[in-house]
Amino acid sequence: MNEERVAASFRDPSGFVFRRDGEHFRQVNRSYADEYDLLLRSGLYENLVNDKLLIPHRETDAESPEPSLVYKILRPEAISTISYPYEWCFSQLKDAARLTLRIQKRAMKMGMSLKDCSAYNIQFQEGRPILIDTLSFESFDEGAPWVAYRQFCQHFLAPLALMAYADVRLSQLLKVFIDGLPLDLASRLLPWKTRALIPLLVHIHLHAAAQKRYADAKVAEAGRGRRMTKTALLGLIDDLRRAIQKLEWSPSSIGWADYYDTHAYTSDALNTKKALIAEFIESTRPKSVWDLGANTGFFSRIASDRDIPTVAFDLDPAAVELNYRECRSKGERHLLPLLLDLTNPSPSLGWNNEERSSIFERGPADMVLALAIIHHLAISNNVPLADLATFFSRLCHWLVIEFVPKDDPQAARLLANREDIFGEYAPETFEEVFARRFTIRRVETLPSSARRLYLMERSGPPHSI
Amino acid sequence: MVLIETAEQLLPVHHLFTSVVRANVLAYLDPGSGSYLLQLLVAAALGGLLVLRLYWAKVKSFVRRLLSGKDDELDADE
Repeated sequence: MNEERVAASFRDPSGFVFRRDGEHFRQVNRSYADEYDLLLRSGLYENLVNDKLLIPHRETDAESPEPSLVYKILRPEAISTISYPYEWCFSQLKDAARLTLRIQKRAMKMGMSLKDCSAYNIQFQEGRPILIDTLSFESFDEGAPWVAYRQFCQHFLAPLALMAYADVRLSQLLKVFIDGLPLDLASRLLPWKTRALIPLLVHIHLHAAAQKRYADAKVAEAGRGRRMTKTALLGLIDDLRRAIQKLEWSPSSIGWADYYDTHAYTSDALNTKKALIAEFIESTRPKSVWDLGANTGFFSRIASDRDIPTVAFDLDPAAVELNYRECRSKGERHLLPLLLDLTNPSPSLGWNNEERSSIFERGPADMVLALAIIHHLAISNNVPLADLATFFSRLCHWLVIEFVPKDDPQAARLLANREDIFGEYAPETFEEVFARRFTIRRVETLPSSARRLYLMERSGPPHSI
Repeated sequence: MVLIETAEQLLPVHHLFTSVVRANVLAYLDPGSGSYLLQLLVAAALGGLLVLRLYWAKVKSFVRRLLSGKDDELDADE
């Protein structure tokens, strides 16, 4: 039996997640029994699961890895791709924030409350955000302030405000600050005009000042006396909801948004490329697809429209934003757009570097689409072809890769202002080098260009470094 | 005591802070003293605002119903 405790699951004494023979289980500890029973008895669990706000689970009689603590063992529905807030676009983080507040409001109506508000408790399932931590609830204790208020502001409000009012790329600070953005930092980075916006003034700027002033005060010692009413707390939640709702970010019109229109492809080449990719997917029937450098997901949809779980990674926050909006408006269930810089992909982070998995640990995918990106990696980022072949062999079994030769206008653009030090960058060398890791199954030349599209199959097991 | 020293630096707030926060709140995550205090200071006002907004929404939907003869459908969560 292959069993391990999930490394991110150690903070909350209510229980933990473990993996056994590839399946995830959640242990509910005896110390949390009353709260867990209340979650079910109050009808909150059913209410949230019916509306797809909380991950459904079933209770099992699986053996516990910690029998002295166990109350129940749950088997939650599996999440097809785990993603993290620093990989989400603005609207994904905003939707996760709205979901969290929606859940808190419903919980309060049914006598419970969220005891934590980590953005890492939210995942995207079938195109929508969903809470995956079944043990996040506690009985609502009228009179007390909300324990998760600080965490909500750090994980959601502060990064969204920075993305909206300073720069959308500041979401990447979440990689550094694993428990959300420190509010004093957010307060310093936000433009002065945000002090004139009452919700941001209160929940970020004054909040940061209060944290600083009362850093050493003990909450418990200070207690006695007046209570915080339920209406007051609902008022707070509603104010946070309005604050989140008012935050907006939209891609600028001069970004990549019109990439497909202005791109060097003729419509004939684009249709041929699309048809070939469809053919490759049909013939190999991959169980999962990662489209690396997906832009707004035009080619990713060839896979996701066939109900294949597909992740569309792109470096550009605007492309990911547009892709996500399209997924949301069409109700697409099999496509997940994520932000990823292939030259510096999401690393392993957190305690022991094990809490948040690197992109490699979340793979390999059955198939990778690497369309019109090799010149960016090999020329802009100077990666030798052999390293690229190794990189892709770590990520997938099937590789659909497009070779963009040096004389292609898109590749020539990258060489316009620099010395050509890329003697090996030619289709013959590319094929020779990739053949060391992959078997080339198909090669097709795209019309009106010298670009080639390959279908390759990895030879041997995934390569590890 | 550290708390009194710090609270005294902000006299108008002192009374509220020492009298408002409840004693029996121990969470597995540190909720943050400043985060607690701020909620207690602003929540009464925000609660009042919410009540006003709900009444206003009811008035609006009543008027709308009178004019259109149809029921409003409001999302209870949002």
